[in-house]
Amino acid sequence: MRKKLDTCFPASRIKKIMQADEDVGKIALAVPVLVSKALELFLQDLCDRTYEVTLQRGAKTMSALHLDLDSAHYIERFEK
Amino acid sequence: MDSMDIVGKSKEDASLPKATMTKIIKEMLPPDVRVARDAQDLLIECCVEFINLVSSESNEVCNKEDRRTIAPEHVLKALQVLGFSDYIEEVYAAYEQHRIETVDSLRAGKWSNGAEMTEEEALLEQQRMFAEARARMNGGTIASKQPDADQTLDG
Repeated sequence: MRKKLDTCFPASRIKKIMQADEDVGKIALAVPVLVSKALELFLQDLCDRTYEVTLQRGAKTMSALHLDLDSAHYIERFEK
Repeated sequence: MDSMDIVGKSKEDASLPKATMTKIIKEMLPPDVRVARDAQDLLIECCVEFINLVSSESNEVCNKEDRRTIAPEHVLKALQVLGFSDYIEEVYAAYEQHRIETVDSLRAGKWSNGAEMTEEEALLEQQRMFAEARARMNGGTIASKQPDADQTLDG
């Protein structure tokens, strides 16, 4: 069900984002690899769910509004 | 959300490259689907938020274990805590693949034979590791001993 990606997330950038958090200290070498994969899965889920909303509305272009409607599910998680 | 309160250049620099993200999003959706600019930006924001979330939780897990360096198993635990358990298996597989590729490149340096031999062996080792991983997953615990725990990135 998941397509294989040709492009991957830049590990160095992920590391940068992680360390922008002051509380975060050292990170093992492999960690950005894991976060990258998790991010890929997350984004794929997000795209799939948002696209469903786009389809439901009969639109050809995915817009932020479709994302807002769908992100309620994720906001619940974030606010845990 | 807390991240909104932080004003400053460091947060702006730490974002995902737009061009790469646009490509990835396109690959994830069916072809011929257009994505409005605002949706793209929002998706990228969500990604950064996700990274922050996982980082933060991984850090907590790490601190609770009295460790100084965030290790792969902390990330896996964090995903579980955050409710992303569905991702764990694939994330772990990616980690194992990465380990094999790292070992493979070290081996290739030592031996003069070259890639073919190492690839077969690596494949066998991968299968063995997957079996081990499944056993560990089913047991509900993740091994605390990681050989590359000493490898750290300069913070």
